[in-house]
Amino acid sequence: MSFDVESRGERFGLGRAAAGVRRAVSAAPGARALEALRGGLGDGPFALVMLFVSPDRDREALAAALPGAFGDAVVIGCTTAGEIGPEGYAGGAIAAVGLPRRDFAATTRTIEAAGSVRLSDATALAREMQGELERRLADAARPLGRRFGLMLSDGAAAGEDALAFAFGEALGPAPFLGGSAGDPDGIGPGFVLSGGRFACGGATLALVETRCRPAPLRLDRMKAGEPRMVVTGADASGRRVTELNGEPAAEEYARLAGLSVDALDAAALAAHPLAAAAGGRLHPRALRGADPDGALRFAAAVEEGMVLRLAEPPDVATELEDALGDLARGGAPEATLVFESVLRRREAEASQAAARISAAFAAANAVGFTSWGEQAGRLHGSGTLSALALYPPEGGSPSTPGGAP
Amino acid sequence: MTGSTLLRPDDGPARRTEKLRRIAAALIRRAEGGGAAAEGTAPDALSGPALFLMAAAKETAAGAPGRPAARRAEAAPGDPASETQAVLDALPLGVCVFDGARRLSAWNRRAEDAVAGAGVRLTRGTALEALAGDLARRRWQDRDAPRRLAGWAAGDAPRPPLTVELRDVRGGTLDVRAQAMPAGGALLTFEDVGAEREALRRLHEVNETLETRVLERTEALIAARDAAETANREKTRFLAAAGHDLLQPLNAARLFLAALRETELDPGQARIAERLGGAFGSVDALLGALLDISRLEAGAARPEVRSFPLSRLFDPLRDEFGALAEQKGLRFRIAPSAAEVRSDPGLLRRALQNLAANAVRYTRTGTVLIGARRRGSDVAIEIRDTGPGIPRELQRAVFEAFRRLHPEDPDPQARPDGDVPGMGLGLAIVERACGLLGHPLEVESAPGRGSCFRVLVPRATPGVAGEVGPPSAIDFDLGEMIVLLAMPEGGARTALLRRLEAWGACPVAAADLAGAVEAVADLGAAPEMILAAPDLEDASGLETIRTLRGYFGRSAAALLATDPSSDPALGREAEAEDVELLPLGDDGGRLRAALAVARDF
Repeated sequence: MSFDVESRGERFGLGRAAAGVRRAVSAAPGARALEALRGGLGDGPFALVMLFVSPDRDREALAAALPGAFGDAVVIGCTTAGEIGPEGYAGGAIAAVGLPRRDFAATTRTIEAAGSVRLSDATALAREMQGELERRLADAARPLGRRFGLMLSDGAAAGEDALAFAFGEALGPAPFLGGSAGDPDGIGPGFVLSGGRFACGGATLALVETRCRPAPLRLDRMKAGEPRMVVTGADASGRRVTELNGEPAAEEYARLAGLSVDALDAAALAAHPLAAAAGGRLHPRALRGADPDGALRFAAAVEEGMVLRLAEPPDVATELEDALGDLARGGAPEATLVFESVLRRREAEASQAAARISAAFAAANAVGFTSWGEQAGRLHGSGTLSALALYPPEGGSPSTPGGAP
Repeated sequence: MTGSTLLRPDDGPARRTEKLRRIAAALIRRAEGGGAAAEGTAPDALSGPALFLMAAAKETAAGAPGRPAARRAEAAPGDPASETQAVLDALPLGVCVFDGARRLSAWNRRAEDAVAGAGVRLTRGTALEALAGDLARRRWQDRDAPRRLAGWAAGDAPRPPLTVELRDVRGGTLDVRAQAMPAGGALLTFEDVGAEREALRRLHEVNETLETRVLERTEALIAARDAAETANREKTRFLAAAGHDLLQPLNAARLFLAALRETELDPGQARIAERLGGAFGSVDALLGALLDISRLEAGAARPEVRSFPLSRLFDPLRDEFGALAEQKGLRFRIAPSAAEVRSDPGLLRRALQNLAANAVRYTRTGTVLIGARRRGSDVAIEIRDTGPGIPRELQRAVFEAFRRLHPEDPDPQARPDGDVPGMGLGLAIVERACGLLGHPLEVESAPGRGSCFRVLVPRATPGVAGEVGPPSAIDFDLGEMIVLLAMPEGGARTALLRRLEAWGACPVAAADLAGAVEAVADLGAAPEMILAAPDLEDASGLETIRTLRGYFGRSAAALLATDPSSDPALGREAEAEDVELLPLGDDGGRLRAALAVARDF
């Protein structure tokens, strides 16, 4: 059945909704899901379609069915640790968002080995993409006004720091955000969809110009407790901490968190988050898990000498409701792209707040996925939420879709 | 200073020292690495962690989306509370960071000191060109170097890095490095050659000084980077460090003084020596109290709660204060108590001592009475006196540090040799200790009617009295079995050591055969179990076991830490020699079993 498909635009039934940002989700089996998503997004035409795909789905089959599925729109996406659709949290599904060509123009690039990207390469790429977008818009004589950047990447490739820094820097005041893909357990790699196929180890970047006013949101507040750990052994390139306080890392973390070293499962990691100070404040450091050799794997940068602190899990639901409420003060956004840490989702599930969060997401017209790393501006973080609200264009949209750039 | 969570409560002194050295070394390496990153030598060489620090600093400075005002206030650049600033200030060189508009956005104290010599002051927003121009206008021995710096500052990006030496007329030398930053900003670093040498010397010291100094340095480094510390915490940390540094010479002085008093002194000299002793005693007690309070405030003291009879605290109080009270002509009575309580005996003793000392100190005539009574599930410990009393409105204030209600005190009689006049710290210590223990503290008092301080301590559940050991020791206890661990240093060995210690064994570690022989010789006893890695630097694991058994007889059970399936030949050889193979990564079950067998033999 494809009745699990739902689109905000249809629900509102307003004139502008027919061509606004379109969202859909489907957990229908096999090829029926893509059918349902096509129906949910409508005909567009779209400048960019993003698909957030559960790792339970058959990626090969999906990729094979993609050509032409969304007209000539560029399609990018990635696998998830959970999806966020029009109704909020979803699982085992595909969530989709379509940016209509009338209000959006996009240029995209794919990087195959994100882990070995140098800062200068990333900076050059950002400049190149900016140049291309500007040329295309100039050719089409349709400046849209606002700009933002997006990234979907394989969290296991650990290349987000350089990419986010370069793009955040290059975009200046324009928002940059992204999410890192990974499976729900944080063990396997994430797969990024671009150029019609799924691959791990890489990243895809999109530079978007839009008539919609974008407003970024970052939730990463932490309240740290007393226990502190100094990283005394680390493999920074693999984001692995081998030793804390001169002891095997997993053992020492378990001791200070009051856990058994054999019980470091997903729920325990979410209930005992870690934070590191930088830039005068605390940043969450999400743990992906413990390796058999007693090392801890993180979803963001770690290094020797870093001081980690045990922190209290945030009150995810209240924090999110407040923040999304703020964003909706002058009218609800047309859509909100959301990349939310799997740690926050686990905490929400553990504290029975998942339904509240789903409701808040639905009210904010959210779409996105549960991530193993979130980019906001120049910063690659983990254990956070990075979102972008897109408000309806001021003064409405032109009645006819503009020329295809 | 043992309460830091960095160490495990059961770490021995040698282990503590080793761990603290490693922690200090890691912190210093990061500080140095951070310096290299800040110099921006090669943007492509910036690691993920370095980019994270830079990104965090920039994002915080730019204000977070959604709530810009709050974020900006939280960590404005240059705010001494921000970690970036703390890291900058901890760098052994002067740093001036200029933003994309080439305006001074951050700097550290060393940079201020460096340019202060030339009469230049640093202020936020100063243009790079203006600062370089200012420097160039001062008097330097060589006019060319400052001009080149000014030229570099005025030039267009991208510019190659520039290093100049500014020699002032007094002979001081300032090494200045100018570097363009990837985002269009610039970075100036100032290095005083003398200062550089000093920093190197101090780095050296870290590896060579005693444990306490390593600990202090570690604490100081952490304090420097940890933005979440409040100003008050910084103060107490300082007190703790200062207290340690001061106590050591003080103790030495007291020793010398004791030696002096044992020589033949004439009555005049003896009197002076007596007073000196009194004065030292006062300083000692004051520092002790300051240290106590700083430890309590810094959260360094962690209560270890157990059940114990209250009489264990009451009896020493009688000895400590009975004589003192008698000397003042006070009645001092402790009502015997058979109550069992749950608390940290050390911290609770400290609280009661301070309450008793206060009562004796401020009571001129009458009685000091200490007793305990049941109150629900608690025991109320009361310290009553017939002293001047505390007006109601001041009953909160007495717990503040350095607060004394009667500054004209003390009564000279309350100052026998070695005692200190009230310095207003006693009740502050009591309050913090009780707060840490979660024991409610009550005051009942009125001017002229004496005071009663009351501490509510939970009663111990009957039948559970006695000290509670670590749980791991209960289910499996090797009873101080001597286990020799012949393994290269590293995480695996550390993990094994921890595990063996948790099981109650006495593990002895050595990195190679020579070390193992030496370790066992030092011990003066044969190991009951030898656990060897398959390959050591100077011998194979099997050779090591063979040699050790040659020295001490074959009685020692032996394990070779390797997977038997990895090398069947080695497995057969080991079996022939009665050596068991223990796969690496074993969950501990087999090790436990082997140890249990060895113990029972």
